[in-house]
Amino acid sequence: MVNLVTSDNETFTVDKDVAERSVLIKNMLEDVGESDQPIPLPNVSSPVLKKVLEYCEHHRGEPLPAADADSNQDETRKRSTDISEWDQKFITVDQEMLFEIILAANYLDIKPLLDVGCKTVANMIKGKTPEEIRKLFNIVNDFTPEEEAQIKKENEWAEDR
Amino acid sequence: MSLLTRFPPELWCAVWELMPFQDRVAVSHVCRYWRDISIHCPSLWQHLEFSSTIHGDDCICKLCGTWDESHSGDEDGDEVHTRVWVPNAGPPPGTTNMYLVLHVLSRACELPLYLTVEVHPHLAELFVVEDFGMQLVAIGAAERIVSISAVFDDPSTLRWLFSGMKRLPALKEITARRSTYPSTLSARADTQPWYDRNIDMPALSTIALFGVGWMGAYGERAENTFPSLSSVTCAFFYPEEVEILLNACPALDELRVIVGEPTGLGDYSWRLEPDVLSKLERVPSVRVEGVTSDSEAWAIDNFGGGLRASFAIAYADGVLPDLGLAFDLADIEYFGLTLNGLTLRSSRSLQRSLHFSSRHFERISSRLVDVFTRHCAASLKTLLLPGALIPTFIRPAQNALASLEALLIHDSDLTGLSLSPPLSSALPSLKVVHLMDGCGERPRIPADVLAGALDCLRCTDSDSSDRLEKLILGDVELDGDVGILRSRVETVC
Repeated sequence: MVNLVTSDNETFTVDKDVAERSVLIKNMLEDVGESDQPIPLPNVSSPVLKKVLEYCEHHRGEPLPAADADSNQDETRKRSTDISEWDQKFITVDQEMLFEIILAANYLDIKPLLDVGCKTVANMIKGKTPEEIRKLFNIVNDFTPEEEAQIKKENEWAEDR
Repeated sequence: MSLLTRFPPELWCAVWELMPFQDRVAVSHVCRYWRDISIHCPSLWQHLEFSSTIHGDDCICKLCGTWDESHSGDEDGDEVHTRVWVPNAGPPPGTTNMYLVLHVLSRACELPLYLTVEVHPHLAELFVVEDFGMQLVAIGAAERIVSISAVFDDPSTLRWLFSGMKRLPALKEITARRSTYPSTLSARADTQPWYDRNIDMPALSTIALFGVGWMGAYGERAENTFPSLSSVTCAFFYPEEVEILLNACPALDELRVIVGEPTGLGDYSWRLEPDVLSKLERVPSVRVEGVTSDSEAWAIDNFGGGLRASFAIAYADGVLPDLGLAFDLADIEYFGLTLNGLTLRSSRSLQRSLHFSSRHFERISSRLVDVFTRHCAASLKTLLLPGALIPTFIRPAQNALASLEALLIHDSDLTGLSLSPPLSSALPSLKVVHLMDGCGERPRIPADVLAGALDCLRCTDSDSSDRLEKLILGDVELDGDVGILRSRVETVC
């Protein structure tokens, strides 16, 4: 078993093979060797870690992606944004939590979870106009008039006759 | 705002890389921060999607004008039907994003480029496409293109794209798909090759043309060669096309012929000349896809013959294999049958395959048994069958399967086999039984059913010297005690 301590000082005790879905934790465990010392995760809060561990628990035992898997993958497959049914359900959370999960997956180095998060955000953005995207993420349009003019030109180029 | 700043730029880029071109452009129009990150992320601009919906002057689609039809009587009182084309006023509708693509591709820095081309009116304004090609050359981007994927209605689109480009040194792959157009519109049949006669593509290794022939009806014989082109997918409408293809591609080792394209040009009466056939024989692997009853003889006569290493026919959905079941192979060592395909391999490593719809299996099964018993059984060393069919195939072969050493069971369905009267006398040399998991799921098999199946295949009394050498369980899980297999098999793995 491995003890993980979150930013809000909560301790989670999990099986080693669940915790080792995280490459960061796996490397830490290899560095410290056999020890009961808790692993501090100062960048992850307890609600987020709970969610992340739910993912790791479900996918425990699956082969970890090779480090160079990306470069070998065929270009179109890499761009697919299909998500499996379980993952889809798992990632149906509010926007705040979605981004927290992605940040945690990035920090903990859990590549498949990071992929699921990125695909979900990409699917949210796909097909929307810039104005719709601003609304979605509560972003303020802060372009200068010069930049606005450049963007207007790009939009005209996209619809040239 | 906290969300935006906490999210590092590389994560945004990872998200945006998953999106189509126009969404990546939209993202760069959201706010200063996103614009700054996106336009400084070269990999976001490697995949470019050029499109044009500008109609040509000769376009006669519904958007460009109308046919004015009238009926009147001539002097003999017969009805005369007249049809007059009335073009719309003003320029034909349509747009292109050419300048946007040319503008953003500088953001890709020196990275390789993947180009998608989509040109839709079926009588398109192809000067736009030609101009795009020339602009890519002018800004030095053409030499970085590694892949082109094109969808178009007008079959000459690719040639026009290439006509402005002399050389594409990095291009490895072309995929082109001609979309079908409404049948009420008359297709402009192409009369030229897909390529421009002056184009040089030294690295091109794969091309797949769907709905496009290699050359076209009466094309001038462009003398291009594609020295690295090893894999070609295309349709052939005329025998000359096959010869020109073979001359143009000295490195060809994989040819996929697509039958039944919606051009209406399909004519299956022609046969290749003997000299072309012998050239074609040097292509090790040929596969004809979408074969119909009308085209089956054409496919086999033109592409199937000879001593090529591999020949496959994939039948169109709903088509029953007929002539394809007459195999010309001798010394068949491998017979692999599933419900939707048959593969034979000879002692000289020549392979012949058929792919058909599984719902036809019943209707051809007796012919398959015939092929098996007459032509294959005597020399067979390895046999792959669905479990339920093993008695059906082996019983008629009787003592003829003297050299069969390995039996591969495709779907691990052993219930019927375990209840079947013994087949062991037909299988004197059987050493290995391999359970495959043909259905993807990890099947569970009761150990006693497996034992019963093995008893049917191998007569085992107490004499242990007569046991099977090896049982390979593959991905199959065994329910119950493995111990009961010990008296039947030497090794279980």
